[in-house]
Amino acid sequence: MPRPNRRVHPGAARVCAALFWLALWALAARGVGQALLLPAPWQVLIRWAALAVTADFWASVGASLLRVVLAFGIGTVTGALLAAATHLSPWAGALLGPVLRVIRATPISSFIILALVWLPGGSVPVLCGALMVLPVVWGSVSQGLRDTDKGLLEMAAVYRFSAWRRALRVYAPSTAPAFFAACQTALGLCWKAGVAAEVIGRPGHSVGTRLYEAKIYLQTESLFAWTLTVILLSVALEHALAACLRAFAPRVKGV
Amino acid sequence: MKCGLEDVCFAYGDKPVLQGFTLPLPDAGGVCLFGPSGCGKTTALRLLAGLALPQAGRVAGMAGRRVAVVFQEDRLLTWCTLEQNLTLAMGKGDRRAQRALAGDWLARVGLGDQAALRPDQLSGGMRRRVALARALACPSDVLLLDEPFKELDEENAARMAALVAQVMRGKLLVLITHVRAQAQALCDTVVDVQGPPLTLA
Repeated sequence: MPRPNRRVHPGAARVCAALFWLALWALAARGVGQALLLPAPWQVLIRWAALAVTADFWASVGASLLRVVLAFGIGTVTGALLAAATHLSPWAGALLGPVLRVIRATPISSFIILALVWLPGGSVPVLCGALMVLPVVWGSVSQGLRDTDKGLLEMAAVYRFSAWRRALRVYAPSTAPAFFAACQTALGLCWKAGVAAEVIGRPGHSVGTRLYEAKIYLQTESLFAWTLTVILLSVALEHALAACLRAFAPRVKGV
Repeated sequence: MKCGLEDVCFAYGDKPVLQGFTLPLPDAGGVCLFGPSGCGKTTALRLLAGLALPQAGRVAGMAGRRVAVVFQEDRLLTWCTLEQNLTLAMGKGDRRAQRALAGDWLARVGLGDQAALRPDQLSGGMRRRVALARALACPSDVLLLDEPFKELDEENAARMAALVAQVMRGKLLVLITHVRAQAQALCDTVVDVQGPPLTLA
Protein backbone atom coordinates (compact mmCIF):
# COMPACT_ATOMS: atom_id res chain seq x y z
CA MET A 1 0.00 0.00 0.00
CA PRO A 2 1.53 3.37 -1.01
CA ARG A 3 2.38 5.72 1.82
CA PRO A 4 0.50 9.04 1.80
CA ASN A 5 2.64 11.93 0.59
CA ARG A 6 3.16 13.98 3.75
CA ARG A 7 4.10 17.56 3.00
CA VAL A 8 6.54 19.42 5.21
CA HIS A 9 5.98 23.13 5.75
CA PRO A 10 8.89 24.95 4.02
CA GLY A 11 9.42 27.23 7.05
CA ALA A 12 9.59 24.26 9.40
CA ALA A 13 12.03 22.50 7.07
CA ARG A 14 14.28 25.59 7.04
CA VAL A 15 14.26 25.84 10.84
CA CYS A 16 15.04 22.12 11.16
CA ALA A 17 17.92 22.42 8.68
CA ALA A 18 19.34 25.44 10.53
CA LEU A 19 19.08 23.64 13.87
CA PHE A 20 20.80 20.58 12.39
CA TRP A 21 23.80 22.59 11.14
CA LEU A 22 24.03 24.57 14.37
CA ALA A 23 24.05 21.34 16.35
CA LEU A 24 26.74 19.93 14.09
CA TRP A 25 28.80 23.12 14.51
CA ALA A 26 28.38 22.94 18.32
CA LEU A 27 29.44 19.28 18.35
CA ALA A 28 32.47 20.03 16.17
CA ALA A 29 33.46 22.94 18.46
CA ARG A 30 33.11 20.69 21.47
CA GLY A 31 35.19 18.02 19.76
CA VAL A 32 37.95 20.50 18.86
CA GLY A 33 37.80 21.94 22.36
CA GLN A 34 39.61 25.20 21.55
CA ALA A 35 37.68 28.41 20.88
CA LEU A 36 40.77 29.78 19.12
CA LEU A 37 40.35 27.19 16.36
CA LEU A 38 36.58 26.78 16.30
CA PRO A 39 34.35 28.72 18.69
CA ALA A 40 30.91 27.36 19.56
CA PRO A 41 27.79 29.06 18.12
CA TRP A 42 26.81 30.65 21.43
CA GLN A 43 30.33 32.06 21.92
CA VAL A 44 30.04 33.73 18.50
CA LEU A 45 26.58 35.01 19.37
CA ILE A 46 27.79 36.49 22.65
CA ARG A 47 30.71 38.15 20.87
CA TRP A 48 28.38 39.47 18.17
CA ALA A 49 26.03 40.92 20.82
CA ALA A 50 28.97 42.58 22.52
CA LEU A 51 30.14 44.11 19.22
CA ALA A 52 26.67 45.24 18.22
CA VAL A 53 26.37 47.67 21.12
CA THR A 54 29.53 49.57 20.17
CA ALA A 55 29.55 52.70 18.01
CA ASP A 56 32.51 51.36 16.02
CA PHE A 57 30.45 48.34 14.93
CA TRP A 58 27.74 50.53 13.41
CA ALA A 59 30.27 52.92 11.88
CA SER A 60 32.02 49.96 10.20
CA VAL A 61 28.74 48.40 9.06
CA GLY A 62 27.45 51.73 7.74
CA ALA A 63 30.66 52.50 5.84
CA SER A 64 30.82 49.03 4.27
CA LEU A 65 27.15 49.13 3.38
CA LEU A 66 27.57 52.53 1.75
CA ARG A 67 30.55 51.31 -0.29
CA VAL A 68 28.69 48.20 -1.47
CA VAL A 69 25.55 50.16 -2.42
CA LEU A 70 27.69 52.73 -4.25
CA ALA A 71 29.66 50.01 -6.07
CA PHE A 72 26.47 48.19 -6.99
CA GLY A 73 24.85 51.36 -8.30
CA ILE A 74 27.88 52.37 -10.36
CA GLY A 75 28.35 48.84 -11.74
CA THR A 76 24.67 48.42 -12.59
CA VAL A 77 24.22 51.76 -14.33
CA THR A 78 27.52 51.49 -16.22
CA GLY A 79 26.82 47.87 -17.20
CA ALA A 80 23.36 48.71 -18.53
CA LEU A 81 24.60 51.77 -20.44
CA LEU A 82 27.50 49.84 -21.95
CA ALA A 83 25.10 47.05 -22.97
CA ALA A 84 22.96 49.62 -24.77
CA ALA A 85 26.04 51.09 -26.45
CA THR A 86 27.46 47.72 -27.56
CA HIS A 87 24.01 46.69 -28.82
CA LEU A 88 23.51 49.87 -30.84
CA SER A 89 26.98 50.21 -32.29
CA PRO A 90 29.03 47.34 -33.72
CA TRP A 91 32.10 49.54 -33.20
CA ALA A 92 31.35 49.94 -29.51
CA GLY A 93 30.81 46.17 -29.34
CA ALA A 94 34.13 45.44 -31.00
CA LEU A 95 35.91 47.97 -28.79
CA LEU A 96 34.36 47.24 -25.40
CA GLY A 97 33.33 43.59 -25.69
CA PRO A 98 36.84 42.13 -25.22
CA VAL A 99 37.61 44.52 -22.34
CA LEU A 100 34.45 43.50 -20.50
CA ARG A 101 35.20 39.81 -21.08
CA VAL A 102 38.72 40.37 -19.69
CA ILE A 103 37.27 42.09 -16.61
CA ARG A 104 34.92 39.13 -16.12
CA ALA A 105 37.81 36.64 -16.30
CA THR A 106 40.32 38.59 -14.15
CA PRO A 107 40.66 37.44 -10.52
CA ILE A 108 39.36 40.01 -8.06
CA SER A 109 42.64 39.94 -6.08
CA SER A 110 44.49 41.33 -9.13
CA PHE A 111 42.10 44.26 -9.29
CA ILE A 112 42.38 44.90 -5.56
CA ILE A 113 46.18 45.00 -5.60
CA LEU A 114 46.28 47.15 -8.73
CA ALA A 115 43.64 49.51 -7.36
CA LEU A 116 45.58 49.87 -4.10
CA VAL A 117 48.51 51.18 -6.13
CA TRP A 118 46.35 53.78 -7.86
CA LEU A 119 43.64 54.76 -5.37
CA PRO A 120 43.14 55.62 -1.67
CA GLY A 121 42.06 52.60 0.44
CA GLY A 122 38.43 53.72 0.90
CA SER A 123 37.65 53.82 -2.81
CA VAL A 124 39.24 50.44 -3.65
CA PRO A 125 36.21 48.38 -2.46
CA VAL A 126 33.90 50.62 -4.48
CA LEU A 127 35.95 50.17 -7.65
CA CYS A 128 36.38 46.42 -7.16
CA GLY A 129 32.70 45.88 -6.31
CA ALA A 130 31.65 47.87 -9.38
CA LEU A 131 34.04 45.87 -11.56
CA MET A 132 32.40 42.65 -10.36
CA VAL A 133 28.89 43.94 -11.06
CA LEU A 134 29.57 45.58 -14.41
CA PRO A 135 30.30 42.53 -16.62
CA VAL A 136 27.44 40.52 -15.08
CA VAL A 137 24.90 43.26 -15.79
CA TRP A 138 26.44 44.01 -19.19
CA GLY A 139 26.29 40.33 -20.23
CA SER A 140 22.70 39.81 -19.14
CA VAL A 141 21.35 43.07 -20.51
CA SER A 142 23.20 42.51 -23.82
CA GLN A 143 21.62 39.06 -24.09
CA GLY A 144 18.21 40.51 -23.20
CA LEU A 145 18.58 43.16 -25.91
CA ARG A 146 19.61 40.55 -28.46
CA ASP A 147 16.62 38.39 -27.51
CA THR A 148 14.09 41.21 -27.91
CA ASP A 149 11.27 40.03 -30.15
CA LYS A 150 12.13 41.05 -33.73
CA GLY A 151 8.43 41.09 -34.56
CA LEU A 152 7.78 43.78 -31.93
CA LEU A 153 10.73 45.81 -33.22
CA GLU A 154 9.27 45.65 -36.73
CA MET A 155 5.90 46.72 -35.35
CA ALA A 156 7.63 49.65 -33.60
CA ALA A 157 9.36 50.59 -36.87
CA VAL A 158 6.12 50.47 -38.89
CA TYR A 159 4.27 52.62 -36.35
CA ARG A 160 7.24 54.99 -36.12
CA PHE A 161 7.96 54.69 -32.40
CA SER A 162 10.53 57.29 -31.37
CA ALA A 163 13.89 55.98 -30.10
CA TRP A 164 12.86 56.82 -26.54
CA ARG A 165 9.49 55.06 -26.87
CA ARG A 166 11.17 52.03 -28.44
CA ALA A 167 13.66 51.88 -25.55
CA LEU A 168 11.00 52.32 -22.88
CA ARG A 169 8.14 50.28 -24.34
CA VAL A 170 9.87 47.50 -26.26
CA TYR A 171 13.48 47.03 -25.15
CA ALA A 172 13.13 47.77 -21.42
CA PRO A 173 10.25 45.35 -20.70
CA SER A 174 11.88 42.66 -22.86
CA THR A 175 15.19 43.03 -21.04
CA ALA A 176 13.80 43.53 -17.53
CA PRO A 177 13.72 39.84 -16.44
CA ALA A 178 17.38 39.32 -17.46
CA PHE A 179 18.37 42.62 -15.84
CA PHE A 180 16.62 41.82 -12.56
CA ALA A 181 18.19 38.34 -12.39
CA ALA A 182 21.62 39.85 -13.11
CA CYS A 183 21.14 42.43 -10.33
CA GLN A 184 20.47 39.72 -7.78
CA THR A 185 23.51 37.68 -8.81
CA ALA A 186 25.72 40.76 -9.01
CA LEU A 187 24.78 41.97 -5.53
CA GLY A 188 26.25 38.84 -3.91
CA LEU A 189 29.44 39.21 -5.96
CA CYS A 190 29.63 42.90 -5.03
CA TRP A 191 29.56 42.07 -1.31
CA LYS A 192 32.27 39.44 -1.62
CA ALA A 193 34.54 41.67 -3.72
CA GLY A 194 33.90 44.72 -1.53
CA VAL A 195 34.73 42.95 1.73
CA ALA A 196 37.78 41.24 0.18
CA ALA A 197 39.05 44.65 -0.96
CA GLU A 198 38.44 46.05 2.54
CA VAL A 199 40.41 43.18 4.10
CA ILE A 200 43.38 43.92 1.85
CA GLY A 201 43.04 47.72 1.67
CA ARG A 202 41.94 48.23 5.28
CA PRO A 203 40.13 51.59 5.07
CA GLY A 204 39.46 53.24 8.47
CA HIS A 205 35.90 52.10 9.15
CA SER A 206 34.94 48.88 7.46
CA VAL A 207 33.82 45.34 8.16
CA GLY A 208 36.83 44.08 6.17
CA THR A 209 39.28 45.95 8.42
CA ARG A 210 37.63 44.46 11.50
CA LEU A 211 37.86 40.99 9.94
CA TYR A 212 41.56 41.55 9.30
CA GLU A 213 42.15 42.76 12.88
CA ALA A 214 40.30 39.76 14.28
CA LYS A 215 42.61 37.50 12.29
CA ILE A 216 45.78 39.40 13.34
CA TYR A 217 44.86 39.28 17.06
CA LEU A 218 43.66 35.67 16.80
CA GLN A 219 40.14 36.67 17.91
CA THR A 220 38.38 33.79 16.20
CA GLU A 221 35.05 34.61 17.87
CA SER A 222 35.24 38.14 16.46
CA LEU A 223 36.18 36.72 13.05
CA PHE A 224 33.04 34.58 13.09
CA ALA A 225 30.95 37.46 14.48
CA TRP A 226 32.04 39.84 11.69
CA THR A 227 31.48 37.12 9.09
CA LEU A 228 27.99 36.65 10.52
CA THR A 229 27.49 40.40 10.16
CA VAL A 230 28.49 40.27 6.48
CA ILE A 231 26.07 37.39 5.86
CA LEU A 232 23.20 39.20 7.61
CA LEU A 233 23.90 42.42 5.70
CA SER A 234 24.10 40.56 2.41
CA VAL A 235 20.77 38.81 3.03
CA ALA A 236 19.13 42.08 4.16
CA LEU A 237 20.37 43.90 1.08
CA GLU A 238 19.21 41.06 -1.20
CA HIS A 239 15.72 41.29 0.31
CA ALA A 240 15.72 45.08 -0.05
CA LEU A 241 16.75 44.75 -3.69
CA ALA A 242 14.08 42.12 -4.35
CA ALA A 243 11.46 44.46 -2.82
CA CYS A 244 12.69 47.35 -4.98
CA LEU A 245 12.57 45.21 -8.13
CA ARG A 246 9.08 43.98 -7.26
CA ALA A 247 7.92 47.57 -6.87
CA PHE A 248 9.72 48.70 -10.02
CA ALA A 249 8.78 45.77 -12.31
CA PRO A 250 5.18 46.81 -13.03
CA ARG A 251 6.37 50.30 -14.03
CA VAL A 252 8.83 48.88 -16.52
CA LYS A 253 6.13 46.60 -17.85
CA GLY A 254 3.89 49.30 -19.14
CA VAL A 255 2.28 51.88 -16.90
CA MET B 1 5.48 52.85 -62.41
CA LYS B 2 4.01 55.27 -59.89
CA CYS B 3 3.43 52.84 -57.05
CA GLY B 4 4.16 49.16 -56.38
CA LEU B 5 6.84 46.52 -56.77
CA GLU B 6 8.90 46.77 -59.93
CA ASP B 7 10.99 43.82 -61.11
CA VAL B 8 11.78 42.95 -57.49
CA CYS B 9 14.07 40.08 -56.48
CA PHE B 10 14.30 38.85 -52.92
CA ALA B 11 15.68 35.63 -51.43
CA TYR B 12 16.06 34.16 -47.96
CA GLY B 13 19.57 32.73 -48.17
CA ASP B 14 19.67 30.78 -51.42
CA LYS B 15 15.89 30.36 -51.57
CA PRO B 16 14.40 32.91 -54.00
CA VAL B 17 11.00 34.19 -52.92
CA LEU B 18 10.55 36.95 -55.48
CA GLN B 19 12.31 36.84 -58.85
CA GLY B 20 11.64 39.85 -61.03
CA PHE B 21 8.17 40.25 -59.54
CA THR B 22 6.13 43.27 -60.61
CA LEU B 23 2.97 44.42 -58.89
CA PRO B 24 1.55 47.78 -59.96
CA LEU B 25 -0.64 49.40 -57.30
CA PRO B 26 -3.08 52.29 -57.52
CA ASP B 27 -2.70 55.38 -55.30
CA ALA B 28 -5.92 54.45 -53.55
CA GLY B 29 -8.24 51.45 -53.55
CA GLY B 30 -7.96 47.81 -52.62
CA VAL B 31 -5.68 45.16 -54.08
CA CYS B 32 -5.74 41.60 -52.80
CA LEU B 33 -2.96 39.06 -53.19
CA PHE B 34 -4.74 35.74 -53.36
CA GLY B 35 -2.76 32.53 -53.35
CA PRO B 36 -1.59 29.51 -51.39
CA SER B 37 0.37 29.71 -48.12
CA GLY B 38 4.11 30.06 -48.43
CA CYS B 39 4.11 31.46 -51.96
CA GLY B 40 5.75 34.78 -50.98
CA LYS B 41 2.78 37.09 -50.39
CA THR B 42 3.93 38.11 -46.91
CA THR B 43 7.41 38.89 -48.24
CA ALA B 44 5.84 41.15 -50.87
CA LEU B 45 3.94 42.92 -48.09
CA ARG B 46 7.12 43.28 -46.01
CA LEU B 47 8.85 44.89 -49.00
CA LEU B 48 5.96 47.35 -49.39
CA ALA B 49 6.11 48.16 -45.66
CA GLY B 50 9.84 48.84 -45.89
CA LEU B 51 10.65 46.02 -43.46
CA ALA B 52 12.80 44.29 -46.09
CA LEU B 53 14.80 45.82 -48.92
CA PRO B 54 14.68 44.36 -52.44
CA GLN B 55 17.93 42.73 -53.53
CA ALA B 56 17.16 43.91 -57.08
CA GLY B 57 14.39 46.04 -58.58
CA ARG B 58 12.58 48.74 -56.63
CA VAL B 59 9.62 49.56 -54.43
CA ALA B 60 7.94 52.59 -55.97
CA GLY B 61 5.73 55.26 -54.45
CA MET B 62 5.87 54.17 -50.83
CA ALA B 63 8.46 56.63 -49.51
CA GLY B 64 7.01 59.16 -47.09
CA ARG B 65 3.60 57.48 -46.89
CA ARG B 66 2.36 56.45 -43.46
CA VAL B 67 1.82 52.72 -43.38
CA ALA B 68 -0.34 50.74 -40.95
CA VAL B 69 0.14 46.99 -40.88
CA VAL B 70 -1.75 44.05 -39.48
CA PHE B 71 0.92 41.37 -39.31
CA GLN B 72 0.27 37.67 -39.58
CA GLU B 73 1.03 37.51 -35.85
CA ASP B 74 -0.69 40.02 -33.55
CA ARG B 75 2.54 41.67 -32.37
CA LEU B 76 0.91 43.38 -29.40
CA LEU B 77 2.89 44.64 -26.41
CA THR B 78 1.79 42.16 -23.76
CA TRP B 79 3.02 44.43 -20.94
CA CYS B 80 0.80 47.32 -22.11
CA THR B 81 -2.96 47.69 -21.88
CA LEU B 82 -5.10 47.46 -25.00
CA GLU B 83 -5.56 51.24 -24.92
CA GLN B 84 -1.81 51.78 -24.70
CA ASN B 85 -1.22 49.39 -27.59
CA LEU B 86 -3.39 51.64 -29.72
CA THR B 87 -2.19 55.05 -28.48
CA LEU B 88 1.49 54.08 -28.82
CA ALA B 89 0.94 53.37 -32.52
CA MET B 90 -0.67 56.78 -33.06
CA GLY B 91 2.60 58.66 -32.67
CA LYS B 92 2.85 62.15 -31.24
CA GLY B 93 -0.31 64.07 -30.44
CA ASP B 94 -2.73 65.12 -27.75
CA ARG B 95 -2.78 62.22 -25.31
CA ARG B 96 -6.33 62.76 -24.17
CA ALA B 97 -7.60 62.79 -27.75
CA GLN B 98 -5.56 59.67 -28.54
CA ARG B 99 -6.99 57.86 -25.54
CA ALA B 100 -10.51 58.81 -26.60
CA LEU B 101 -9.82 57.60 -30.14
CA ALA B 102 -8.34 54.34 -28.82
CA GLY B 103 -11.42 53.80 -26.64
CA ASP B 104 -13.66 54.50 -29.61
CA TRP B 105 -11.82 52.01 -31.82
CA LEU B 106 -11.80 49.34 -29.12
CA ALA B 107 -15.57 49.83 -28.84
CA ARG B 108 -15.92 49.49 -32.60
CA VAL B 109 -14.15 46.13 -32.55
CA GLY B 110 -16.32 45.02 -29.60
CA LEU B 111 -13.74 45.47 -26.83
CA GLY B 112 -14.81 48.86 -25.47
CA ASP B 113 -15.10 47.69 -21.87
CA GLN B 114 -11.73 45.94 -21.92
CA ALA B 115 -9.39 48.84 -22.66
CA ALA B 116 -7.55 48.38 -19.36
CA LEU B 117 -6.83 44.68 -19.93
CA ARG B 118 -3.56 43.37 -21.30
CA PRO B 119 -3.37 41.28 -24.47
CA ASP B 120 -2.41 38.09 -22.62
CA GLN B 121 -5.77 38.27 -20.84
CA LEU B 122 -7.62 37.93 -24.16
CA SER B 123 -8.48 35.08 -26.52
CA GLY B 124 -6.75 34.75 -29.90
CA GLY B 125 -9.71 36.23 -31.77
CA MET B 126 -9.90 39.21 -29.39
CA ARG B 127 -6.18 39.89 -29.79
CA ARG B 128 -6.66 39.82 -33.56
CA ARG B 129 -9.35 42.46 -33.26
CA VAL B 130 -7.01 44.63 -31.16
CA ALA B 131 -4.29 44.31 -33.80
CA LEU B 132 -6.81 45.37 -36.43
CA ALA B 133 -8.07 48.27 -34.29
CA ARG B 134 -4.48 49.46 -33.88
CA ALA B 135 -3.93 49.54 -37.64
CA LEU B 136 -7.25 51.25 -38.34
CA ALA B 137 -6.97 53.80 -35.52
CA CYS B 138 -3.52 54.94 -36.53
CA PRO B 139 -3.33 57.79 -39.08
CA SER B 140 -2.15 56.22 -42.34
CA ASP B 141 -2.12 56.45 -46.13
CA VAL B 142 -1.55 52.76 -46.76
CA LEU B 143 -3.10 49.72 -45.04
CA LEU B 144 -1.22 46.44 -45.38
CA LEU B 145 -3.29 43.62 -43.94
CA ASP B 146 -1.86 40.11 -43.76
CA GLU B 147 -4.69 37.67 -43.07
CA PRO B 148 -6.41 40.21 -40.79
CA PHE B 149 -9.48 38.08 -40.10
CA LYS B 150 -7.83 34.80 -39.20
CA GLU B 151 -8.96 33.32 -35.87
CA LEU B 152 -12.22 35.29 -36.15
CA ASP B 153 -15.61 33.67 -36.36
CA GLU B 154 -17.75 34.45 -39.41
CA GLU B 155 -19.80 37.16 -37.73
CA ASN B 156 -16.78 39.00 -36.31
CA ALA B 157 -14.89 38.65 -39.59
CA ALA B 158 -17.79 40.34 -41.40
CA ARG B 159 -17.93 43.14 -38.78
CA MET B 160 -14.18 43.73 -39.06
CA ALA B 161 -14.32 43.69 -42.87
CA ALA B 162 -17.04 46.38 -42.72
CA LEU B 163 -14.76 48.53 -40.54
CA VAL B 164 -11.87 48.10 -42.97
CA ALA B 165 -14.18 49.12 -45.82
CA GLN B 166 -15.11 52.32 -43.94
CA VAL B 167 -11.53 53.28 -43.16
CA MET B 168 -9.92 52.44 -46.49
CA ARG B 169 -11.67 55.25 -48.41
CA GLY B 170 -8.99 57.37 -50.08
CA LYS B 171 -6.25 54.99 -48.95
CA LEU B 172 -4.35 52.17 -50.58
CA LEU B 173 -5.23 48.77 -49.13
CA VAL B 174 -3.14 45.68 -49.85
CA LEU B 175 -4.83 42.62 -48.44
CA ILE B 176 -3.70 39.03 -48.08
CA THR B 177 -6.47 36.57 -47.41
CA HIS B 178 -7.41 32.99 -48.18
CA VAL B 179 -11.12 33.75 -48.33
CA ARG B 180 -12.11 34.88 -51.84
CA ALA B 181 -15.37 36.42 -50.66
CA GLN B 182 -13.44 38.73 -48.31
CA ALA B 183 -11.05 39.61 -51.13
CA GLN B 184 -13.87 40.47 -53.49
CA ALA B 185 -15.81 42.41 -50.87
CA LEU B 186 -12.91 44.69 -49.98
CA CYS B 187 -10.79 44.95 -53.12
CA ASP B 188 -11.36 46.22 -56.65
CA THR B 189 -8.49 44.08 -57.88
CA VAL B 190 -7.77 40.49 -56.86
CA VAL B 191 -4.36 39.32 -58.02
CA ASP B 192 -4.03 35.54 -58.11
CA VAL B 193 -0.50 34.51 -57.29
CA GLN B 194 1.49 31.32 -56.87
CA GLY B 195 5.02 30.36 -55.95
CA PRO B 196 7.63 30.48 -54.62
CA PRO B 197 9.09 32.35 -56.34
CA LEU B 198 6.04 34.61 -56.37
CA THR B 199 4.46 34.92 -59.80
CA LEU B 200 1.08 35.91 -61.16
CA ALA B 201 -1.10 32.84 -61.59
